[in-house]
Amino acid sequence: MSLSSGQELDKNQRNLEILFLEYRKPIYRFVYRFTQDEQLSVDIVQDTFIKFNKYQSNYDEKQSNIKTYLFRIAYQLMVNRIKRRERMKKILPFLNQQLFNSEVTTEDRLTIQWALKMLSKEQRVVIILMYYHDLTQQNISDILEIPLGTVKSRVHHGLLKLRQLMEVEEGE
Amino acid sequence: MSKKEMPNKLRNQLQLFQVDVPAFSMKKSRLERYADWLMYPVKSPLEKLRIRFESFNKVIIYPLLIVFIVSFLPLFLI
Repeated sequence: MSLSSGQELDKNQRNLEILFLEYRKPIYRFVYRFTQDEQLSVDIVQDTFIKFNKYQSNYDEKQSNIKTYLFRIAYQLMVNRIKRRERMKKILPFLNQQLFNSEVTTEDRLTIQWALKMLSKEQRVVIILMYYHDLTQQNISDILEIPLGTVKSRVHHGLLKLRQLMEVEEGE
Repeated sequence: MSKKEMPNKLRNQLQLFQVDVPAFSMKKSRLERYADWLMYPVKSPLEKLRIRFESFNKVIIYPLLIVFIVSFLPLFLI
């Protein structure tokens, strides 16, 4: 028995809500650790599910798992928002600056938040995905849409820089 | 390198960055987004003009410097 379009919509809506409950926290944490901006992180999570809802038909579960797919959407949205912000900053430099972001105190230094910020965006994203989200390098390569070799190299250089910033010795 | 191969000290430090997730709904209206944008904290554009301790030095030194330059400039132009 086939479902009517109304029932189909209800079912999609319910599935979306289940997905939201399951993935809103990991996606929020991913975006927050990358941007360290609460409002932006909430917006990105909401936009991720709006976009997923809109293009749900494009999702093929044989090609990628749902976690990878949602993280990819969130990453793309985040990159676009950051680019837009940077453009905006050039035009109106006083906008989009957090009040307490400009000055880094000595206490802030040597914290992991500070060290992650010091990494390049490319290195930061791979470290966050690998360490905090237990994603394999292959998954990371799918999310960022970059070759596996590039992921490995970014992980290597990112960890090296992070160790230098946090003053962690090689053998520890 | 995988997560397990990372130095213990670095893993412990990464572990310190915990994130609390605030409560929020799946959708937000345009009005709410606009309100958030309006209420977002920004730096004052007049920040550069604020009076600080070194401002007094600048107020005294800059005019003197200008007078000095203007008075000695003709010597180089002759």
